[in-house]
Amino acid sequence: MDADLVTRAQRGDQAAFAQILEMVDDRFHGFAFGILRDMHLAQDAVQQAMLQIWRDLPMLREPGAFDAWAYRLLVRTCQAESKRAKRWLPALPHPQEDPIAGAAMAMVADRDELERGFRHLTVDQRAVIVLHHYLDLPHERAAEILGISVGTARSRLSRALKALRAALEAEARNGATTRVQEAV
Amino acid sequence: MGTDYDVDRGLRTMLRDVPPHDGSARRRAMEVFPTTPQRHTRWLPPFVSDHLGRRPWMYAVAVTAACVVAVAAMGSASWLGRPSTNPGSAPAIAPGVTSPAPTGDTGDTGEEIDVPSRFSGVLRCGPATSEGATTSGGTIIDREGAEQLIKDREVRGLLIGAISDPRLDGSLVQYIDSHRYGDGPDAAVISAVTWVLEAEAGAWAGSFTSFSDDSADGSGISFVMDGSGEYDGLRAVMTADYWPGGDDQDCTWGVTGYVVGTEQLPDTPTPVS
Repeated sequence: MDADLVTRAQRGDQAAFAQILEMVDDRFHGFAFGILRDMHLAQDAVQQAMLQIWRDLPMLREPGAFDAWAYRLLVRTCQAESKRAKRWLPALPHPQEDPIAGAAMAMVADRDELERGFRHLTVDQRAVIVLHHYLDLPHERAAEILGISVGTARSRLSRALKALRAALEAEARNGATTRVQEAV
Repeated sequence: MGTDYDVDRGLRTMLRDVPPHDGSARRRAMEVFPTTPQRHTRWLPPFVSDHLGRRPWMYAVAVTAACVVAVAAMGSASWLGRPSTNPGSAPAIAPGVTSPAPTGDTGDTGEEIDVPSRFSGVLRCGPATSEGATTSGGTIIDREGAEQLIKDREVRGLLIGAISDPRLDGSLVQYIDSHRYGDGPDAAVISAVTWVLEAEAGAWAGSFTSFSDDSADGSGISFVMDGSGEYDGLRAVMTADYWPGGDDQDCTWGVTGYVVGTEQLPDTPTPVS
């Protein structure tokens, strides 16, 4: 982000801030949707973050640190939105026996299982995964955004992925049980 | 999901598949922010904060100087008469706890060394049950000058969604005794919680105390569950993160920790006067 643009916005330049919002809009939506998995919630989180950025921008000492600081605010608004969210996803039917249709359905079912497994994670776990796998940020940058040490960022990502794999295994076991029950 | 499914690749694909947005969030923000006041560093006159804003390094110099003065002042008062300590002392490693090594690894003495066993899992909240539950309603005290105190006992089943250690796989029941102080958004809830987990070869039980209010939802709990039955002598040292859902039945707990032997836990430190 252009540091001069940030400095002008800090001094109350509304045109400069409008420009900042336009530049971050898509990135913020992608990031918030990555965490919340719901576009309505993501839009609310992004809107709240944008207003909070405007309000607190003069307190940012280093305009060059705008990106990390703004994403940190966005993570917090995502946390707030997640508390208001009600989650329930109906499971997709299991892939059919037809191998061609089955393969396509299998991909969709895999994606569905991944979505369901991802939703088992806490917002903090999702945030570190999104920072790493969506924004492709190194651990140092993710740590800066989350306000934690690099070591904690590494371990949080590792635990988050481990929890995700455990959730996927559980989903797979539930699905296998259902298929056995249906076959009987 | 097949065993060869690439989770990392699947994650990247899933996260990059972002549906288009209509820009309404930015439009709504643009409508509101022109009339939203910005926060400034009020303890400094605006022209001073503007000046320092162009030279941020001056903040660091000023804060550092203030800290040095404060530490010097405190140190000169407290350092006198301080009992001498052995600078070489360091916390001893609890017997039985080693650096990561495979289970059953044999040390120089030829004895087997047990190592803590890492686990992680996800628990889903279930519906509250009536067994053991009482909702007393407590005594609603006159709110003028006095707080409302409402006592509540809730019993709720937690479903093990996924847990990496089979010794911790089973059915879990959560008992919560809560006191609520105040009302509305200012209410604070203090809770004493006990988890009882019944697994195939034994059971685990542990308790913790937490609070929740407008600023915190009681997540990030650390506590210990004691094993019984075949797990007698084992303890699960864990951290539980709480993720509330849309209602009480839709919440999730993420748990991580270690199963250790009782002898592997360090003793509770005794304050030294």
